Amino acid sequence: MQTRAELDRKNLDSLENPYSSIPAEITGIVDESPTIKTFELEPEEPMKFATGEFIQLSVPGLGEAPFTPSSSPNVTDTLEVTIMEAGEVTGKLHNMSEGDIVGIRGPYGKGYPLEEMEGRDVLVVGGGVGLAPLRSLLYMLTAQPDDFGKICLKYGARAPDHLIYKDQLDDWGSGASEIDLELTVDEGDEDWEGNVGVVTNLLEDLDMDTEKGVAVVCGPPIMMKFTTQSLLDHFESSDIYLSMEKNMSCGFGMCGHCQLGKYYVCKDGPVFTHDQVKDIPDLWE
Amino acid sequence: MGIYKMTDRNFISLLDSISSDRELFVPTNDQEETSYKRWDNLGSSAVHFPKYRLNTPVKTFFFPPKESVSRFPSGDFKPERDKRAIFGLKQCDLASLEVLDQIFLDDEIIDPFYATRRQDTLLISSDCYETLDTCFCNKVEGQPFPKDGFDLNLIKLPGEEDLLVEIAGESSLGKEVYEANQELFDPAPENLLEKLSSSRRSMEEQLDENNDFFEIPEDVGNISPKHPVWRGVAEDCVECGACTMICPTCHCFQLYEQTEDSTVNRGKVWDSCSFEGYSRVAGGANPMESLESRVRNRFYDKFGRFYENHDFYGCTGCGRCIESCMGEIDMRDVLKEVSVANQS
Ligand SMILES: Cc1cc2nc3c(=O)[nH]c(=O)nc-3n(C[C@H](O)[C@H](O)[C@H](O)COP(=O)(O)OP(=O)(O)OC[C@H]3O[C@@H](n4cnc5c(N)ncnc54)[C@H](O)[C@@H]3O)c2cc1C
Ligand code: FES
Repeated sequence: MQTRAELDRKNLDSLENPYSSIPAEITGIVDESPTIKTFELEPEEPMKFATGEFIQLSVPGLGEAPFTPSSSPNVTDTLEVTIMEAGEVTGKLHNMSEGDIVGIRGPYGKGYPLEEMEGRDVLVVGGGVGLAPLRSLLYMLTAQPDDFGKICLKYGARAPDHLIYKDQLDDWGSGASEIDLELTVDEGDEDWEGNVGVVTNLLEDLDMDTEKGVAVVCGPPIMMKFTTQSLLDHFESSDIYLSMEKNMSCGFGMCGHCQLGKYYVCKDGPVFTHDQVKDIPDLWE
Repeated sequence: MGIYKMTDRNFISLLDSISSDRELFVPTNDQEETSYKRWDNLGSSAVHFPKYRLNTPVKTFFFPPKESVSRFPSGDFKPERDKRAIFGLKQCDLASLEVLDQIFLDDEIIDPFYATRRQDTLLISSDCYETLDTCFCNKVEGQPFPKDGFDLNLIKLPGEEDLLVEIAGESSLGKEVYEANQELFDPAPENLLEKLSSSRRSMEEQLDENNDFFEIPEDVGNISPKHPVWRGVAEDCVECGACTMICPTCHCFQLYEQTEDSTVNRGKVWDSCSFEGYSRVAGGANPMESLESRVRNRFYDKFGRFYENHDFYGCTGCGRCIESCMGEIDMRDVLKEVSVANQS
């Protein structure tokens, strides 16, 4: 916090306005699944972010919603967000087209601690659209594979046509990639020959050094809850990274909405270790 | 800087002088200790020394109920700068600004609207000469007289003609006022200072007596959400949100957007954790759907989360929430019930 004396000395006229968004043009749209699209955005000025940090994206005049970029932080002129249609703002976004203008501000929060993962095996567990921030993380892990141990991705979705990033999944599953990929769907279809069942089924026999490894999880609350329970058999509580979703308005610790125990998810998270949040009552509600 | 004596007439001259380059707000006694009015509309006879805090929480000057904060796509939207002064603040008002400073003057991101008003506002406080039944600043590390956080503290002890004026050591605004008006300040006589100490002592004793029935439990943030006390509070709560609106430290807001011509205005409006939609997320899930979870959040927040992060309470003990509650919920009774159950 700034003391009053520090504040008195500050030139406030040069302060940035944290409530202001910059315009960004939609330069590409990929249909990922019946309910999920990836938008490539080109902001007026590049917005640097670290993997796992999030932005506030606005449909001008309607409102904002928080999203974690799914692209690599190493790409700086554009960024990608992968968005599931879930309500007002996301619904409107799904009806927008290339060339349309949205607003963005940020980045906010604390992203994935890559330095904590160095030299260690990394298990990445995703559910549904929860693979979005994890894709950004995976880009960073595979950009410098020698810095990390083995990288395993376990990803589950409702049905085969709900799996997102199909091209990347093909790549990652091809054997030529550093990523050891396993997929599952809740319900298969005629063409599906892979695993059927919840993603926790993929966590029983882990072919990696879990004792020294780290696990990173993102998905719907119910999936996060059961995945965490299962991971605790293998990993230290402080080595399990969870993405917490809360209602957000400001994104930087002032509006109060995202409170979680003693934390504000926007400022102290959105990524927390299990150890940080395990004693919070009704964590997954 | 120190403490001085000032005659009643010089006090009016001081306010006149301050109002010559600042918009000055003063308490008025036309209604019961309720609100601040602009000095230049009033005339000197209307100004009075409030006995205790006013109803209006001082946050309204710095964090108004609704304000514009940005434009899109231009983005160029800056706070307006208005030099202001507020007279009549009590210790709990100053304490509430200390709480809000922790939120809006963060190390990494500063709210420029709050910050400029804070920098541009001269704070003139005064001691409490009476306490309300609802006052409990003594239980939240406060006291019925300003210790710091003010620029000037003007004290008019009951029955005394002359005033005492304290100028805060670290306050550059206070020093400025002193230097511009030195002829209005006289040395403080010993007898007046002694009277001040005894007045302060008696206020403290009164508060101790009024509030000896409860303690703030340790570790409020970890009191079980299943504790029966929350159900009781939820039964009395009518979800009007008055406690959070009148609370001088509640700072929740919601950003919203409105389009005028082709410009989008982004605004900030007070919100309340008592409202059902407060924590709803996409798809309709809502971690604080039950009223019970919302009423207990207020306690977790002020005495748990805030305390754990900043080492002092997020409540100033001003008692406004007790006065304003239609369901007659008294925070002190709740804390008492919780402590008793925590011990057993
Ligand atoms: C840190 C973080 C990262 C996320 N990353 C992603 C991601 O990468 N991909 C993804 O698909 N999802 C992500 N989400 C979830 C996403 O933010 C929500 O799906 C989105 O907010 C839903 O917005 P909506 O307006 O479409 O939904 P709604 O259900 O319409 O709104 C959800 C809530 O937003 C508020 N709200 C909505 N409209 C208004 C309004 N007009 N005025 C005031 N409040 C309003 C309300 O509180 C409402 O309850 C993330 C969430 C968080 C917290
Ligand atoms: S989103 Fe406003 S405090 Fe976290």
